[in-house]
Amino acid sequence: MQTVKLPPLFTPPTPDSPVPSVPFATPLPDIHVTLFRNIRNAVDVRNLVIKGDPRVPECVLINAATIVDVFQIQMACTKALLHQQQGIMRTRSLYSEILFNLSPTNNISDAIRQFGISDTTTAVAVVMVGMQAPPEEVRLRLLTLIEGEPIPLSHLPEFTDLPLINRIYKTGNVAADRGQTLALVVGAMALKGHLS
Amino acid sequence: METHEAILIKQGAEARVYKMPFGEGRCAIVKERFKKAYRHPVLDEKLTARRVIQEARCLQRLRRAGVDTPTVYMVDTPNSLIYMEYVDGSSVRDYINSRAPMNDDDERLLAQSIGKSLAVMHDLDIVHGDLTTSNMIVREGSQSLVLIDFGLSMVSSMVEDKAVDLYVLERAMISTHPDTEGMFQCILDTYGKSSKGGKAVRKKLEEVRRRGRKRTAFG
Repeated sequence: MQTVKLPPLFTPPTPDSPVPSVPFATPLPDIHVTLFRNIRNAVDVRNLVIKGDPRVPECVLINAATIVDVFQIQMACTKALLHQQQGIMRTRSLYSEILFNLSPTNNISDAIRQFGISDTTTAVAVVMVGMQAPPEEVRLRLLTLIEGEPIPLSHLPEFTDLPLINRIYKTGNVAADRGQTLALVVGAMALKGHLS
Repeated sequence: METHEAILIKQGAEARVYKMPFGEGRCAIVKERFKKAYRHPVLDEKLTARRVIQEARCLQRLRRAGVDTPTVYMVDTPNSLIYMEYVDGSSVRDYINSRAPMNDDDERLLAQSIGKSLAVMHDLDIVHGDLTTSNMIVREGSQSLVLIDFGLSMVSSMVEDKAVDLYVLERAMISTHPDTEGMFQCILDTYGKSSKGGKAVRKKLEEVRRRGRKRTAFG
C-alpha cells in the first residue's frame, strides 16, 4: 500500500474581502493505493463489490489498463472530494464518483464498466481515501479478497493499455508519447461531457 | 493540517490568476473569474460558468489538434475556477526582448511556430481575442510555443474575426517590440501557407488595417 498525496484545493477569497495577495489552498486527505497483478478471481471480486459485501473494505478498484499515470487517479479523487464538499456528486458514493470522474463522458454505467474491475481484468489499482482502519488490517483484508500479487505502485505504467485509452478518451494521433497522452486524458476528464 | 499558499500572479479585468503547488513536482495555475456585481446573480452565474467551460474547452481542443496549450487539470464551475498546468518558460515578449536584436534564424523559427499555431487555431474556428506576445510562452526544454489565456476567446468561422485577431497581434507587436515588422511578415507568410482559409484572412487583414479593428456601423 502506498500513500499518495492529493493536490490541494484552491479556496477563492470571499468577494467582500479586500484583495489578498496570499489566499490559501485547502489540503485534502491522502489516498492509499495498492496495485495487484495476476489476479485470478476477478469474477468473484467483482460480484462481491457489486453486492457491497462486508468483506470488501471501503475502496475503489480501478482497472489498471485504463491508467496512464497515478496523476490521473489523483485528479479523479480530488474532483470526487470537491464534488462531495459541494454536494454535487453524480453517483451514490465517493468511490463510485472516482470511477465516474475517470470517464470523459457523463454515462455512469459506461464509466463503471470501463474503469472498474471486469471479469477479464488481471491488474487493478485499489484506492482508498483516508484510512478507516489500521493499515495492516486493511492490507490483510485486501489480500484475502483478491487472489493476486501485490506489487509496488511504480509498476503501474506497465499495465497501461494505450490503444484502449486512445479509444476511450479519443486522444487521436497527437498523443505520440505518454506525457502528451496524460495531458489529453486529464483534460478530457476535466471537461467531462463538455467536449464535442 | 498544514495550509498551502497560492500566490496571486496576475489581476485582470475579468479574472485573477494564482500559482500554487499541485502535488509532487507540479505547479498549477488557478484562474478565477469574478462574479460581476452589476449583473443579476442567477444570470451572472450561468454566464460565468459558460465562459469558464468555454475557455477550458478551447485549451483542450487546441491541445488535441496538436497546438501546445496548458493542460487543463480541473474545472470547478461553482467557484468559477480553472486549474491548469503551470508552464515553465518565458513569454514570447520576454524571449524577444532578452534576445534583441534576434538573429535571423531564431526569429524565423519563432515566427514560423507562431504562424503555424495560429493557423491550426483559426482552422478550428477558435479566435483568441487577445493575441499578444505576452500570451505566448516558449516552453522550457522542448522550446515549443504555448498559447495561453483564452479568457476572451470565441468560436467563430468568420474571416473578419480571424483577421481582427491577427490585426490585434500586429498592433501589439508594433507597440511592444520595435523592428519586428519582418517577424510579423514571416508569421503571416507561414499562417497563409498553413491555414486552409489563410489567403482570405490575409486579404481581409489588408482591409482591417485600413479601417482599424472596429467596423464602421453606418454606411
